Amino acid sequence: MTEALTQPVTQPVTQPLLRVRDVRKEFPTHGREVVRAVDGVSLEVRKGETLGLVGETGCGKSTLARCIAHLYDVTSGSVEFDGTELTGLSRRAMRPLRREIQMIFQDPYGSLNPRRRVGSIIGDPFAIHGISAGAERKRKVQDLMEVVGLNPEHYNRFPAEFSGGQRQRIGVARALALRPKLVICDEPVSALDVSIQAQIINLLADLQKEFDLTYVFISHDLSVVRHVSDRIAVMYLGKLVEVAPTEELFQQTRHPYTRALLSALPVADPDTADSREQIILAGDIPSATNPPQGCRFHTRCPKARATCAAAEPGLDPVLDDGPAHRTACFFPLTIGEDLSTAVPDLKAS
Amino acid sequence: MTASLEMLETSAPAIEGRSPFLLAFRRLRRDKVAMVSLVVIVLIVLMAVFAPLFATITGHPPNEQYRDIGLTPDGLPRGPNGTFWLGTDDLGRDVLVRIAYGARVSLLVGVAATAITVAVGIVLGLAAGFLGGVVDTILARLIDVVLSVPFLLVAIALVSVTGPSLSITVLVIGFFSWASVARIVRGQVLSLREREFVEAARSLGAGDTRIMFVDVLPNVLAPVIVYTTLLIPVVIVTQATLSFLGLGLPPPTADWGGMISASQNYYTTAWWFILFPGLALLITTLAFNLFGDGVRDAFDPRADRLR
Amino acid sequence: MASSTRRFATATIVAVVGLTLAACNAGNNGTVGAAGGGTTGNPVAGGTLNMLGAGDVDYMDPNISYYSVGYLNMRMWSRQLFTYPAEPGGKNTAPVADLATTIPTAANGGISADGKTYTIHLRPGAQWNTSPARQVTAADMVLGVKRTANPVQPFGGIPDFANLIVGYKAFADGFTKVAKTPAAIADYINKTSLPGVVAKDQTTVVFKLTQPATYFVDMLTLSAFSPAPVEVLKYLPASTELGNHFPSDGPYKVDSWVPTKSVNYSRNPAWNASTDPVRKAYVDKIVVNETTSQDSVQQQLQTGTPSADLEWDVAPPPSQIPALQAKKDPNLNLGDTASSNPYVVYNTASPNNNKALANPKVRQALSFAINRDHILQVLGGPTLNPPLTHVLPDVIVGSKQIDPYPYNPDKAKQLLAEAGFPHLTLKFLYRNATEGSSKSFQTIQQDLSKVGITVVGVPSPNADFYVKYLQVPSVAQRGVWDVSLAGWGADWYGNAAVSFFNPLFSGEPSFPPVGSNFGLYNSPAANALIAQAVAAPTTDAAATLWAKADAQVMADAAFYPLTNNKQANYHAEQVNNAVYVPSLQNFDPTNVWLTKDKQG
Repeated sequence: MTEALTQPVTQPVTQPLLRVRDVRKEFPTHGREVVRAVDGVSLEVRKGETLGLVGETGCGKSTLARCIAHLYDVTSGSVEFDGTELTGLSRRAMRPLRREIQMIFQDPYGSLNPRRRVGSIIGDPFAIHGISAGAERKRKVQDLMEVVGLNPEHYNRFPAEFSGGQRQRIGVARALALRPKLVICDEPVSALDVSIQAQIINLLADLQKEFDLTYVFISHDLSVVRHVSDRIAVMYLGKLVEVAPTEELFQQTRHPYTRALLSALPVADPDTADSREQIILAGDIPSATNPPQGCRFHTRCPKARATCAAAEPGLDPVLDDGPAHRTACFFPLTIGEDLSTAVPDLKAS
Repeated sequence: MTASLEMLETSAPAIEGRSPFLLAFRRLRRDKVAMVSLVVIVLIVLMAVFAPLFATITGHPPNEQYRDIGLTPDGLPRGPNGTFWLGTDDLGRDVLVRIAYGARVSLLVGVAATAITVAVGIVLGLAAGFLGGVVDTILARLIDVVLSVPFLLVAIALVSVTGPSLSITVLVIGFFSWASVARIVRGQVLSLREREFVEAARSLGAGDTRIMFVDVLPNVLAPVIVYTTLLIPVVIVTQATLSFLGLGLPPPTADWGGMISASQNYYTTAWWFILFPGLALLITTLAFNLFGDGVRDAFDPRADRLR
Repeated sequence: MASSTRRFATATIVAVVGLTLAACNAGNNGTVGAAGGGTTGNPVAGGTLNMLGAGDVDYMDPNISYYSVGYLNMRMWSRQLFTYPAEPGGKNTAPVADLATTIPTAANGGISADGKTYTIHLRPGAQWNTSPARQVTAADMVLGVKRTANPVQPFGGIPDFANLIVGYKAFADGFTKVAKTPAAIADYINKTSLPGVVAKDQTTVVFKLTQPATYFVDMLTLSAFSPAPVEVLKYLPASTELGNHFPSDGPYKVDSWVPTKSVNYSRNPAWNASTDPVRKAYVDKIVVNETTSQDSVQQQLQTGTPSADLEWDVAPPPSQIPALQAKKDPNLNLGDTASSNPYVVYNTASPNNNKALANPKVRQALSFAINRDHILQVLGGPTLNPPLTHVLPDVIVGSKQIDPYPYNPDKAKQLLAEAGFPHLTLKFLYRNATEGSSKSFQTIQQDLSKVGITVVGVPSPNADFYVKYLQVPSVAQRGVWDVSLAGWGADWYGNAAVSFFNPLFSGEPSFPPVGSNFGLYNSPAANALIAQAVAAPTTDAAATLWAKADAQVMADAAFYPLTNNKQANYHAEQVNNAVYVPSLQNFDPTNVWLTKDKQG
């Protein structure tokens, strides 16, 4: 499944800022088994774009994010950032690159140290990298607070004194402090009220323009991802199943899993409401310690056939799709195909 | 930009942040028992600091033996009277003055040994919990070993070898108490290190040491402070116990345990000799314990809702 | 020789126990007990005498026992040639004939003209409770003396007489090489003669001495000089089996002895009252419970329960003595001891302060600077701790009242200045966990500070005090301590000065670990006087010489005596004729009788 990735994709004008190749991440469990949280993922992110990464909880998208941010050492594969190979870098060698890649975390409560003042939290990147101190640092922090829409006078407050949305702004400010090139947003809004979600997403969008940021935007919520992303990658059980430019993914959905995710979206467009099918996936997501053979989705796929259990589909353009739209499925959906009536047939023919 | 809207969410006028410690302190201030205990503690500290004042007022230096006016011809202590307000001890010394001087020893040992205990306990607990792996295995076993050592027996043996002194008392108590603190800290750190803010610090490029002391440590301080407040009276009693067993400070230094030890042969004949040093010890430990209870309640997360 | 070490160590430890007890005592004198014990009314025989204690005898073997609680036990069932009487109102420190028919003198032919041969006749009719009962013979006496040197557990007081009894040293040295089995021991005893102790005929025993010893009769009161019948050779000395099977020649016999738990005595049918001038043996049974505590014993004795009559190895708790004294409790007795306990010892070999303590003037200055009254006061007052201002306590022959060092700080300062040591710093070794020791230290510290001497405490755990400090001469020579506290008690009473001077002040032979001359005092003048006194031909001559030796030691300021402390004892109301005997450190159980309705 790695073959297509070395080729230039849609817009060859921009070099990829991030190139992930066949990354695997395994965690040992108490037994002798391992959890394959990320099991061979390859993707690229170009400068200035936003790549949405969606999937159910536990599909490995957060693990992948931490592999990219070098919070985890990958088990195998390569992560290349702006031409530098990150895997195997020592902590010391990684330090300057930390400034380039930042993360915004899901939980605005857990990701801010409750015992430290906001000014100190946002100033942390400066302190760690020894960039500025004293009044200068304070000014910078307060500038940042202003940029993300916080009252700079609240510099001395503690996280507990802020609302969830404000806290996430603190997290954003901290991530932006060092003017990174790549920001990995790990479900940055999923813990927030819907009304606040939009504010944060708008903030992120504004900041992207202002600071020329590149985002990897992780969410389990396709509607959020759709709003911010240029391209979307759908992940299932440690693997990518479909990658496509945002609108194409929605219009020409190829993978049954993607379609299932889409069908779970709340009604956003009244015109399409009645035509939407409701696809309820059978069973639970299988265990990552012992993923299904063949196509990982075949145990839950309405269109599953014997082939799906026997072989693993590669992530390639299917049907008449262009190179930017790749799908890992033997039986991709055609436009307008009704999946709700499909019945799996795993008997060998 | 929507930010301006959101700023309105927090309408509190206070710009200075209310730290969790500040909040705990406010709750503590409303705790009458804790406040009374604090006043008592302050009084005891004042008594220790101004112990020479007691000697000046009474005119009795702490080690001066008054054999004529302070002892009966048969060597029995004299009861409370106009000269000796709390009576005399078995060598005709002023019990009141010696209690005041004894407070110095109790508080000094209480604070010094607790400080050692907490410092060592925090560092080792942090290291074990945060670094994990071999470090944790070794330290956790060490903690188990130290906790399973019969403290008093070893303390007695050790003091027998080295001879009694203030520093050895502090060291012995510190050496045997750090493990409890380390265990508490380790347990806290084990869960804290999985928190996202630690990951966030790491993603910013912070090293282990910085994360341990800047990010993790402030979060374990609350239980450590609670434990420390409750540890001080334990240490004071331990010091008194060692003294009682003859392993405390060499005479003629006044200390409560030593006074109680000396008074045990006189309980039928000189009640004041055992009562007043005993009361001093009791009141001190009680005050610290009640205050410690107050601190614990103030830091209790359940009380957070009251804010 | 190992046994010689033991003697001094043991005697010293006895003294240590005395110190703790003495610490808080005060009282009358030994005669009060007799009056309070109720000699009024006619003695009533019968009943069970219950004795309560917290510990056991040292050895249930007369030829080995060396502690007063052991002597108390022997009083019931083991007799000596001479023993101390239990005369109401008497001092009871002068020996009387027990198994012997009379006290030997030159006049009655018991002592030879040269004072070196003692011929002693045993009382006919004194019998062992063997089956059949059998006369106690001179041969039994020889066997008893021989057993003191047994290799299993030699008697602790051997140095008192090792060189005095002809041939004893050689006999004892040979014995140490014998296997520790009953057979080997019996074999050595049967085949090896002890020329100094000879059975002349069945009831005549002859002791031959290397030099005259006026104190010999007094020394023969030691339990070690008890006769032993051949039956005991079946058992290992000091063994529990032997303790339960040692035949008795006293008024009682041991029915059962469970070490550290109990001893039960009942009447010995082989004993004939007419052969025993000392023991009246009013009670039928004596039951000893060794599993109570000091406080509990006192409580039971005071409540008047018939199941508690006398103390066994405990004394009244020091804290309660003042109260008992205050209400003049007639059941409390403060008896004489032959102890000098505690006393201050100067380390004459200390290199500290330019060897200041080697200078008698400095030691004299210290003696003037220490206020004895103050120390005695904090130790419980002079009634319990009457002052002792020289070597020998009153009850010892040769004791002559002198007080060479009355408290005089000015004189002390003057002497220090003369000696060139106006500002000394002295290390005071003391047992910080022992109340009396700690209090004495603090008091002396304050006294000496008034003459410009700084005293620094060297605290020692109780267990290390003798073993690691005082009994190691090199520790004294290194100057680990300059001043310390020790205590001493004579092994017997009356003519017992030798038991003070030999181990404490006789120069090199008395240095630890063999002796207890902890300060390494060595004065040719004192040594010569001691040698003369030991060999004095008559008791009177000995007394004079001992008094001279005493004065010499005091003049040299080898040590600073404090007190000849009293022994406190308490008995229950129903115990009559409770007579204190110093050697037993208790009332004599073989002479008490119980009030009729309280004979339980």
